[in-house]
Formats: sequence, C-alpha cells, structure tokens
Amino acid sequence: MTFLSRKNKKFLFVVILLIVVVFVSSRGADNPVKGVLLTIASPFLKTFRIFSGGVAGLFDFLGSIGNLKNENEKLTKENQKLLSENTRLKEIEKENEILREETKLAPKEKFDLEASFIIAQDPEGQGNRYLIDKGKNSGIGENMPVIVSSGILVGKVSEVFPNASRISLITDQNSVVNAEITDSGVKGIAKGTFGLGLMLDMISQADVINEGDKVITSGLGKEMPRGLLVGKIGQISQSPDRLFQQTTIISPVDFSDLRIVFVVKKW
Amino acid sequence: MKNFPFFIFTSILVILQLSVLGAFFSPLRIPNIILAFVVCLAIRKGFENHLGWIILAGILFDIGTSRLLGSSALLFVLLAFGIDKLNAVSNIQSRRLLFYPSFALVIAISLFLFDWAGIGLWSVEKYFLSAKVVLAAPLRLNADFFWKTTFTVLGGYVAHYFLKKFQTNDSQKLFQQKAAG
Repeated sequence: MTFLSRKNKKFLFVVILLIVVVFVSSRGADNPVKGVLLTIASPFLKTFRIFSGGVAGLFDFLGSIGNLKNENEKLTKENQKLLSENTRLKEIEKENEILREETKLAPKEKFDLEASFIIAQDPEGQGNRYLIDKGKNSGIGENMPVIVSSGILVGKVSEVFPNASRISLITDQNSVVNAEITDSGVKGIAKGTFGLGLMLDMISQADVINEGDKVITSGLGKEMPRGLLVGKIGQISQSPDRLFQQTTIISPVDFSDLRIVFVVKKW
Repeated sequence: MKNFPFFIFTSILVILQLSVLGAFFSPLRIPNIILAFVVCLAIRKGFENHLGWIILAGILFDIGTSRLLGSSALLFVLLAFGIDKLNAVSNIQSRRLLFYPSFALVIAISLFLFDWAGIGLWSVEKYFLSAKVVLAAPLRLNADFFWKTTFTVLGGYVAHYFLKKFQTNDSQKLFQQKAAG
C-alpha cells in the first residue's frame, strides 16, 4: 500500500477542500449559506423545540408532584403577603412615574419588541448561545438587547440571518454590559463567566455595595436602554489585582429554560 | 443503502442535536450525537463509503454553532479517517462481545479529541484568519464531561442500532432483487 493510495488521496483532497471552505467562511461567506440552511431548517427546529419543551416540562411536573403540597402552603402565605404589598405598591407606582421621568429609565411599554421563539441551542455554547426564529426580515440587527417578558435582560443578538438570529446570553464569557446598582448608583461592568455565571466587575474600592442590591443596565455607550434588570448582587469579593471590587450577580431568570424572548429593536 | 432514508435519518439527528437535547439535558452535559453517528459510520462502513454523509453532518452541525462553516466537517473527517485507520488494525466491527466496549472507548476518545481540537481550531480561526469567532470555554475533564461522554456513548449505541437496521433492510432487498432477477 503506497502512501498516496486512493483513500489517502481522497482524504487529502477533502481536507484541503474543507480548509478552503473554512478560510472562505472566515471572510463572511458562511453567513448566506447558514442563512439559507436555517431558513429551511427553522420550521422543523421550532416544532421540535416546542414539542420537546412541552415534554421536558411534563417530566419536570411529574417529578415535582411530591413537593406540590408544601409549595401550595408556601404560596398561600406568600399570596397574603403580596396582597398587602400590592396596596402599598399602588402608591409607589405614582411616585415611580415621576422618578422615571427624572432618571430617564425606559419603561418597557416604550420598547419596540419582537417576540421570538428559541428554536435551537448551540451544542458548543455551554448553554449560552441560542438560535431564535426571527432575523433580518423582522428588523432584527446585531447587538440588539434581548429580554424576557418581565423586562429582565438575558442577552444580545450576536449574529443575524434572514429568518433566524443567534443570541448570546449575558452569561456568555464574551458578554460585557455596562451596569449600575440602583440604590447607590455605583457603576460597573456585568460580565459572563464560564458556565452560566454572571459577575459585576470594575467597581471602585471606594464604592459601598450590599448583597441583594439590584443591578440594572446603565445605558452607557447607548448599546442598551437604561434600566433593564440584570439581577441582584450576590457574593462580594476583590478582583485578583485588588484594584476593584467584584461581585456575583444572581439573575432571576432560569437561563436553561428559556422558550420565548423579546428582542428590543428600538428604545 | 438508499440515500433518501439516510438523508432523513441524518437530518433528524441534527434536529435532535440542535433543538431537542437542550430541553432535556443540562447545558454542559448535552451529548454529541452527531459525533456518535460519524464514529458509527466510520466503524461500520469505513471512511470512504460515507464521506459525503460525514461532511453533510458536519456542515449541518455548523449551522447551529458559532463556528465557521466547515470547521466541524473538517474535524469529523479527520476523526473518521483516524478511526478508519484504527479499524484496519484492530477490526472493531468483527469483535463480538468486545465490540460494545471498544465502540464506547472509540466514541469517548473521539469526543475528547473533537472538543480539544475544536478549541484549537477556534484559536487558529481567531488569530490566523481574524475570524469573528467567540472565545471557546476551556475543556474540563469533570463530572459534566463524564456524563456528556456517557450520554454520547448511549447515543452512539442507538445510532448503531438504526444503521444496522438500515443495512439489514438493504441487504434483504438486494438479495430479493438478485433472487428475482
């Protein structure tokens, strides 16, 4: 058997061909190809995703039946507490409107939102990258913020195709968002960590921060609207070089269970 | 083997990989059933016979990832070629009881190599091709990777079962055609 047998020749040819494809793709040529393939695959991906989400939900439900009684009691107590709080909040709502005007926080109603289904998950994105079923044809562009129904920031659009887009969650290690702590006005940068973690970094040593404080987007750089909830301050620590403080951020969103998201097209 | 059912089978695997498995597995434990399928093809029929399907599986896998188009296909082809060479020496397919553990071992090593080489390729694309690829997470050999490997191996057994069925059906049809003709 010689080195350049038919099989080896075939192998070398295919490898060289694929290297050329990768090289051409790096020059942006892969976007139209991926776009076409995603347009074809999108309806199937969506159907399977919705169905599997339902089945997975059913399994979760069956697994949680034992806990339902305890949870019911807990919820009844919580409901009573919430009723009293609701009365108090109505008063605060009026005050909130005035404050919004002053601090220029964007109310959710003013956003131009595009509701989208999660249709696929990047198998190599460690749960941080998803495909949604809306793209350029629906007015979606790169770097647009992505929120969930209650106005909580979950990520950004990272790649756009004609009928689909890729979103990167704020927990992605490449994600950087200008953030601010609501009560103190302390500014920092919310970064994704490896896995599904999130941290607030670059907080000056002089600033006072407390566990449980709410973190919102600061709107600096105009890349995001101001006032989207990122999460709550968790454990506070020092940066490795001890120049800044950093904290973990606890997001109220279960990132592994996203089904419908909203892309903020205008704010 | 008829091409259309095989195409449907490959497409279903890709849809399962991209769309369905994420709903059932934690993100770090999602099995790579496309890789299991490629390993299966390489072991059962050799590198040459199913080269087209291996490339197609890689290209379809790439549409769901942030990788450059062709990256996964390239890695799959390299792996399949390696497995083909290994098969030529050890003939995994003909082992009886030892087939399943050998198959599992080949999938586990392939998965490790795929993830490891994937990170390397990612760096090459980023620094030499100035591609707009995102940073890849480092490969960690922890419990998550163990479970991912286990689920991938199980996926490989399922893929192997279906491929065997395909082949049996084809052989029967071929035999019937020969007998009739």
